[in-house]
Amino acid sequence: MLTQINSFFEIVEQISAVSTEGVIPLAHPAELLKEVELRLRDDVVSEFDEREAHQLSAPAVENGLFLVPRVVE
Amino acid sequence: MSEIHDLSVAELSSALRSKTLGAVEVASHFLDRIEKDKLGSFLSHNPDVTLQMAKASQERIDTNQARALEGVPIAHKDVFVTKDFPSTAGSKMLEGYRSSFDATVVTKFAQAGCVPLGKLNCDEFAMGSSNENSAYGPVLNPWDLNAVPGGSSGGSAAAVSARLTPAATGTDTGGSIRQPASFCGVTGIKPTYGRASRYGMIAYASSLDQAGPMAKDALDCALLLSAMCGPDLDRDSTSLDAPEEDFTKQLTQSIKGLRIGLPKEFFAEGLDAEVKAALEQAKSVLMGLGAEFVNITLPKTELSIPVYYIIAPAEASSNLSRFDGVRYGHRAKEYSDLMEMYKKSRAEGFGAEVKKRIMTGAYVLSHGYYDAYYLQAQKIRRMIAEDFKLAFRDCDLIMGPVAPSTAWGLGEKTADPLSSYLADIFTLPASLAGLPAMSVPCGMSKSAKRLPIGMQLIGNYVQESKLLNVAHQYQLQTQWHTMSPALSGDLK
Repeated sequence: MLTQINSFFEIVEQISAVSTEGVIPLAHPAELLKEVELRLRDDVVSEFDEREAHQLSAPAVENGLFLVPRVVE
Repeated sequence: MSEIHDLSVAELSSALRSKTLGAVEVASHFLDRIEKDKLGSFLSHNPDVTLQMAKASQERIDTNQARALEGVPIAHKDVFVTKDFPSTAGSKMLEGYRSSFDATVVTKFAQAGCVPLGKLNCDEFAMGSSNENSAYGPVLNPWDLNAVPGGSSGGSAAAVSARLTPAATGTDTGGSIRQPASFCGVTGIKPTYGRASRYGMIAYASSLDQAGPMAKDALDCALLLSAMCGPDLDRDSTSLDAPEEDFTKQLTQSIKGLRIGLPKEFFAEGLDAEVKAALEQAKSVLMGLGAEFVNITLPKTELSIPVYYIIAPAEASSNLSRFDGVRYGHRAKEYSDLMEMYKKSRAEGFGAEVKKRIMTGAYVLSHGYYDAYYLQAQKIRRMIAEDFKLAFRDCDLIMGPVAPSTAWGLGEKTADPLSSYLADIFTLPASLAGLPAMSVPCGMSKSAKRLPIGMQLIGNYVQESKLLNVAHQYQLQTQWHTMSPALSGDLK
């Protein structure tokens, strides 16, 4: 795997030769389409308590809580 | 009348509406075929659920309450979470995982009356171009069982091609709808980034991931796309605030005078001669329809490979950190403390390609390398998008190959994954820019093996209707999209 990652970085090196002075990084294609502001939804309850359904696929649950190995002695 | 499985979505829809066919009859027909499938395209199906939905659809038809696609079967790529079927994303990490909710796209298809057949195989977490990275085994190409179906939506493409489902959902991060569609001879479209909700789509690279339909032809894709797109503003912060659209409206328009750009970088050295010849032919057909061709340039095409393979893994390393073996997913059997539990669970749950991308992603985001890799890639990403903007001054849409070659052999590129990264060259630019793009069958290779060839059409933002218009007009003149692999007949 190390060989694969290293050979990958060989093709990556070509990006360092590109002059990008003054170019603003593009984090998101959505902003190319129109001015997007961080959208906030209305502060109303939209999701309801479905604890049991959500925990159905959890590896270990007890009394409605997710179980992990002891962290604090 | 043709066999049920050879009918398109449009044909099935009207046969169901006119009661020539029953919804249960149609669903059972496809379930029978899925039972006999040897391609590995389905990861799960549940006849009880499917038949129950089909019955409900039939009741609606019988009481004149049929919705847009009432009774039409569809199968979902396994990266869409579903309540009725397990959702694994092709990963051992999510083996047996049952979601407590449906992805918005899944809900929208259900609300349009579609009957779900099950879940489709894909590369693990949608990372791959051959479907060989699935933890549940590869999918075979229905045209040649020794070839890959493409990826990551390989199960979707193979299932539509082998007539196991009339329609499938796929997701496209760097070409994952278009390339398998091309390799399996089906039609697929990735809409503008933000058109389809990402809510409930298991995330790979969030600024690139986009859902889209795969089916036999452009008309079907237009029908499906109309059902699945639309704003989901409260649940997907990147959802496009554009009204729902009927993408079939422009299909019948003439394409006379339409300017189609041919990027010289897409026809450079390395393009398979048969692919090139098929595109030349497609060009003549489109010229016959009155389209005009102009030469354009997308100078950063080659750079899209390193840029994509920096940005996508960077986002993946963040997205996949949620798999910690606590709330869902695989947890190691034995561990001495919390840290070891995380480490072992992730080491056991993820496959090699996923691990590689997480490590690469974490590396390019790390202090000291962030500017040189991640930020530099994001800057070039903007330059790639600017190149398209310039190109669209001279043309209305862009045409080129989907992939440099037809489907490669199973195992051919597994030892050297870099070679499959390089084969993504023609699909990556549109993904990075967030543009809509589609794959349309345009030929069959004759030399070694008879394998499908796809033509790529790239449109400007929110111009899906124009892409579908061109594809539909092209398909009215050609037969490539109607071909099905010989194997399809063996499933009776």
